[in-house]
Amino acid sequence: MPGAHRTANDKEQRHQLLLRKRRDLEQNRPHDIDAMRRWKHSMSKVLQELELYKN
Amino acid sequence: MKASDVFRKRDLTKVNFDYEDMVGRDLSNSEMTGVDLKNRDVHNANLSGATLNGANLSEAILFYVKLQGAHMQAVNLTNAKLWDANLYGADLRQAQLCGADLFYVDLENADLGGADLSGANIRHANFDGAILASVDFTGANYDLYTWNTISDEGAKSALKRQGMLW
Repeated sequence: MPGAHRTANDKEQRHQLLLRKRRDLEQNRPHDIDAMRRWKHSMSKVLQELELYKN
Repeated sequence: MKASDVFRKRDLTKVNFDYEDMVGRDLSNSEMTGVDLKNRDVHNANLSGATLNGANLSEAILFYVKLQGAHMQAVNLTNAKLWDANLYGADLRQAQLCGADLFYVDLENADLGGADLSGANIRHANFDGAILASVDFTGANYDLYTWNTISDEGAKSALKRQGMLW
């Protein structure tokens, strides 16, 4: 299973990367409808993965 | 000018918005009861504290719109795109939100009593402290994040029974 051998350090790095991505998306909101749809899709993926890091 | 005029809301109920660019506009604290903004792009606008009771915002693009404390009783938001909108403390009683996309919306302390959320996307919406009495969640798409923000057991039961866990 991919990711099964991830170390705690790898997981923390991934978590930090996701938090950075969320912050970037929140600070860079687009202004045309196609970009807004892509923004929503990207944010959805990030938030979905961030849920896995909750206790 | 009387002292009370200072706090009077700008009355925009008679304005024809058909040829107005609404993107990013500051319309905060305006009186906009019953206005027709159907299918309009209003993203990034500031409508906080505005009165939009009975307004038609169906199919509108409301991405990142500020609607904190807005009065939106019986507003029509059918199929509206409200991604990342801020509806903190908004009055959405009897609002029509069927098919609306409420992804990543902040509805903290909003009043949604009797609102129709059938077929709505409420994934990653925040309902912390929101009033959800008699809300119709039929076919609403939710996730565990949304679920965990709802404290009202009756609303949770309705969502579980009527909605679809994503």
